[in-house]
Amino acid sequence: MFHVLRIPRDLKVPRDDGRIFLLYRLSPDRIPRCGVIPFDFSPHNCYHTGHFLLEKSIMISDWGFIGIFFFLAIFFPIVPILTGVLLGPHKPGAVKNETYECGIRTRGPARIQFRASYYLYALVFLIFDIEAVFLFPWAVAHGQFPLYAAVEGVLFLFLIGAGLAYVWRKGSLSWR
Amino acid sequence: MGDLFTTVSNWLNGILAEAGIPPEAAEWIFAVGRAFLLGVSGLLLVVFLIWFERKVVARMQDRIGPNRVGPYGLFQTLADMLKLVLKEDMVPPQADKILFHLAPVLAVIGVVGLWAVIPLAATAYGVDLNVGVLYLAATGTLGTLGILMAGWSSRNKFALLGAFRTVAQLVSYSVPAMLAMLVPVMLSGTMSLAGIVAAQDGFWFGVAAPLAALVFLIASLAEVARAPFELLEAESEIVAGFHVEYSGIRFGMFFAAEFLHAFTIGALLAVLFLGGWRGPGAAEFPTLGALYFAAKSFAGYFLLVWVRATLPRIRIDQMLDFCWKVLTPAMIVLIGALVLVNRALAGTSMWVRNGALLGVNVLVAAGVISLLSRSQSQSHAGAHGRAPGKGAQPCALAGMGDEAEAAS
Repeated sequence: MFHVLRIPRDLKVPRDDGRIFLLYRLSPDRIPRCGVIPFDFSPHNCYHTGHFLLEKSIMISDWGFIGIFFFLAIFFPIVPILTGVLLGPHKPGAVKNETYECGIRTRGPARIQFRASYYLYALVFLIFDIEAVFLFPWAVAHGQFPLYAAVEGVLFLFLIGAGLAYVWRKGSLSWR
Repeated sequence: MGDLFTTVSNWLNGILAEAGIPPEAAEWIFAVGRAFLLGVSGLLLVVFLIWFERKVVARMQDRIGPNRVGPYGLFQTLADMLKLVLKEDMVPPQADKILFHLAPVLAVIGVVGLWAVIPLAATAYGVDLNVGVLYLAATGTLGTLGILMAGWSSRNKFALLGAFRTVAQLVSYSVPAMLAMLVPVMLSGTMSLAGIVAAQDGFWFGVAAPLAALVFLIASLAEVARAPFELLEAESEIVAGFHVEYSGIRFGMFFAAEFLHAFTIGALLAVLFLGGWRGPGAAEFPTLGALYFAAKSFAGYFLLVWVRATLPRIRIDQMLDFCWKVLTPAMIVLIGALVLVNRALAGTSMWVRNGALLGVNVLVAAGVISLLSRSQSQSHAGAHGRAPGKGAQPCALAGMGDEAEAAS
């Protein structure tokens, strides 16, 4: 079932070779127990234990596991809720079903207009959220770029900062 | 015995292989079992967390706390859960049924989903995604969506007010939280959480960048909506906020999600800034690493409980101002400075580089504090001329009046 490979002790793989990441994953403690990875070695079919790599015929991908996890996670809240529905009494009444506003009789519809301030905050948030998508890859790679690329990222960051200053100046960030 | 996790998984692998199960099926069984174990232990942890929090808060307020059910009141939460399950499950007839049912489920998924990527020890994690930090940011948002849905679908003015505040608060604070998460990503050069922990073997990022850790803690505290940021369910202002119309175990699910989320913040603080499972001897003995990780997570959680027991709730304008006018600009300046320093000193020794990073943090923190105290003294000087009114009023009541006027 397993194909067991012995790993030579002297390990040298350049950092930007895609496989170093794999090695790193296999031995997160970075103890140099692993050696040169065999050429035909693929990231998704091996386990690392001690001095060996156990090669397996198939392995569920990372996102496959996330899929399984989310599928199971749906049941974690649903099972108690269903239990509650089954075990609890069920005696609805006209008064009981009323909207609960601390005993005061409800007036008007619940779907009221909301103030524009909330909308403005959500809009500013959106800009920063999109910015974050650009910043994360840049933060990962800034060490490998030449210096001007790192500076450029900082300029981009400050550009967004200037946007924030503009919104601030316009008074959109003060609660009214 | 040093690596309990690998030992157990090898042992189980052996059993499955002997039983004649093909490796593909064994892999699936393993993945499902791992996911199930992670999720269930997360939810069972809530039982302990609620007891822990009630005990700690009680001690801080000079009370005894739960002490009747079981030894030291340990089973109090179980009794409460039993009570919640046996309560009548009410769905208001005027509610938007689909969203109403979906909201508590989403709230729980959004929190439990985070545990798929958190490394518990060197060899124990659900999965080590190469975009782990982005995954955290994305999955954490699901809970916000659940709260928004709950507030909107209840057709209750108070619940809707809670939902509005969600938009303002959770959405605002995810900006500094994300910017703070950028710092460990930048320092380690990877988005994988196991990679971030591995990169902290010399210096914890919390030591090299304490300001980022602090901002992460504050912003996350706001994102879990716990005191002093519990504006979305402020009892004294808007009944119970977004979950007014929820009863029984449905309400219990929101509650469980909140507690688990608070602990998850402690765990993330440990992973991103306090070296995760790292500690003396942890690299050789992953089991020991899991203990370190648990200790660090509980320390972070204790901090959250402490803050909750200490600080009063803040007003919505203070809350938003603090996010947009203090934390976010500070993080922008901090990240810019950290990146440049980190890039410029790439070749130097670990001590020089981390010392410089720490220096940048201290400088930015000092700048923020001096600016804050200056603006505060200015606003104190200006406050005499201002007519008492809106600023002095409890904000929710003022907001309620305005919104009710807008509706009529």
